[in-house]
Amino acid sequence: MTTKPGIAKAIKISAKEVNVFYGEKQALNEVSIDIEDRSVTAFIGPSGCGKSTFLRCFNRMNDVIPSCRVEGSIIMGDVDINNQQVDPVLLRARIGMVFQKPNPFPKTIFENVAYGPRIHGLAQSKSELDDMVEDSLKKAGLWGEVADRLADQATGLSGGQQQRLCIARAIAVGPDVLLMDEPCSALDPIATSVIEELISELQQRFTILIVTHSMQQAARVSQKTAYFHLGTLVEYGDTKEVFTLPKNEQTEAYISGKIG
Amino acid sequence: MSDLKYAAQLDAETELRFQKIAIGLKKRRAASRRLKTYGVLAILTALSFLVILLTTIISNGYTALQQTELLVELSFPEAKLVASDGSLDLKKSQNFNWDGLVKKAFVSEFKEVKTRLDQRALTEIISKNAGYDLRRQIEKTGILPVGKTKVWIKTSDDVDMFMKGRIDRTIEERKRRLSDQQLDWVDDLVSFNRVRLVFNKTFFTAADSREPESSGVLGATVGSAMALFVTVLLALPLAVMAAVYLEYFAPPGRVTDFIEVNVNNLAAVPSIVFGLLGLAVFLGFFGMPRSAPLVGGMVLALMTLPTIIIATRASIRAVPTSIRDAALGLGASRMQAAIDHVLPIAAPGILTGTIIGIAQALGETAPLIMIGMVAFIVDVPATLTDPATALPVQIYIWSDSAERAFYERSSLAIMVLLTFLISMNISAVLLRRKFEKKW
Repeated sequence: MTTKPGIAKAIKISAKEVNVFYGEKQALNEVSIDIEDRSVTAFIGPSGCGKSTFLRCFNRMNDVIPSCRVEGSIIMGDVDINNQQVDPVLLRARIGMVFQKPNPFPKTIFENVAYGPRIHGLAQSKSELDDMVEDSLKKAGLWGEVADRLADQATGLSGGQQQRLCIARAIAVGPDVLLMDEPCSALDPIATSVIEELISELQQRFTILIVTHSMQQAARVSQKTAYFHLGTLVEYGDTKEVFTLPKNEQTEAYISGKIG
Repeated sequence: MSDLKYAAQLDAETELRFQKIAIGLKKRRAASRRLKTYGVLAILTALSFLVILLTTIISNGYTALQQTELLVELSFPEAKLVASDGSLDLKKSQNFNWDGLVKKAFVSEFKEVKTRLDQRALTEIISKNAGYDLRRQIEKTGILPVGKTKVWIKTSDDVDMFMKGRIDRTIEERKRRLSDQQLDWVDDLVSFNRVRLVFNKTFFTAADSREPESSGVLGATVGSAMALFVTVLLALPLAVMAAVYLEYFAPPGRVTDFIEVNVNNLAAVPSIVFGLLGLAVFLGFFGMPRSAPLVGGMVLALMTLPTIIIATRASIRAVPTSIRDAALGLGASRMQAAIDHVLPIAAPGILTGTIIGIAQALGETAPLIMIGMVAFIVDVPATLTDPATALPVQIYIWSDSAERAFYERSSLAIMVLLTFLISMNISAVLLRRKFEKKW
């Protein structure tokens, strides 16, 4: 890994006292966390602990749910992205997202990747767009497999290929943060290891936040790990430390398989 | 109790339980067989009703595909019809008594008929529009035949009915539409091979008429097509926009709930109410033309709107939210997510809803009656504001007429309406398939 132990990286995003409510029910309670630049931060915890909800705060995807209310501040650069003045459309161009289930558009492979650059008007010409698509597919490690069938339907790809296509689609817009919501939960072990390798490569360019159910995965790909339980952030630290010397009893119980 | 004994007892209990179940199973099987029989019977009943319906319509209507014609020999008076350059003079033609020409020629062939009363009875054999038809025919070609010419003219609807076996000559004379004498004349004509049954072209090329033999369904078909065109043009975009707004943009609350309830209720409002609304608002307030397909289409659009909105909302909701999330996650606006991704996937469902709505509109009579599309109109409408009728209204008018010949024509018109409907449904299925292939 590129991280040298002992040297702290710059802080990319800083969440302060984030509370999330679904109607009357509180899903997240006073979560504060500093996300390091160009590293992988894993959110782990049992089902319903609020880790996915927290992830969706970073690109305001919770706006889509009518009953959902987010309080607190999430500072990126010098902007609070939770401020209602911030345009979520602009925000989502900077913070890409990969979802739990591969969700390619029912269009061609090319159209899937080209959609983001197209709606944001990033390409000036057809050839520039072609280059962007090729570049994104290469970064997602999919180019070799689909170079000669860009006009095929994306839904015809295998699950792992579809998920990498979704990653290519997200990075085609040129974000600097990638949110991944259990990106491997619908994939087999081989496809999972391909994606994990990809995450390690992408980490050099992007700040990656990943929600995962698999503790092995968190241990393999992340530098920082945050453990959530019942809507609170229980423990946050270097992955190695969290997994070998957890400070909190709950964390230890979860990691050692006693609860979960 | 030893373990062995206990096990034996358990086995015995299990055996008893299974026997009970086996006995019950027979009953259950019988019940499900009975239910299956009921289902088959229900379907057979429905099918037999459909068959009865179709046979009635077809057996009543197929004869209208033919029209009886009569051979008349006549010579055209050149002096009264030809201009100085030798061609047909349209002005002279307009003033010429074509009717008299045909009638005189026909009557003169029956030398023995002398009295005026008999002659009048004789002319009842030929169509009242025979002269007009002949004039149209000659004016169309622009050439006046020279010398004795044989022309086929239509018979009156009563003779037509007699030739098709729809008038029983054994019943009492005064209860018949044709007298004994008239029947004898027709027999004479038949024996001289001067009567024939030909394909009824008029039915597919003309609009309504007082005479069944001159009436056709084209005017009503064009009127229906125009009204439906307006309906689709208005209802489809409005309904889709309304549905997208309600699904994606409407803030949840009392107002949205109120709108939702009302959209659902509007779908169940009797169609005549929409006709009254059209009469009051479009005709009364805005002063739009009466009997026009434009207004008819607008009224039908109001009627179909809720149907399409409900279908569109249902098919939008059926699109997986992951697709919408994917688009939003890339930074697409809600509108872009809806138009670029959700609507194309929902399109087949929207199309089906639209076709159901349009099919409903096609068969609708009541609202069109309210806005005057029930009028007697002899011209095929050329523009959206021309007076017109629609197919179901035409069927209604004809089925209400006294003449037997209109009765068979209304059956044939029903067949035309059904063909219209089926072809629309087939095109919907084809379009749907095309859309579905796209992704």
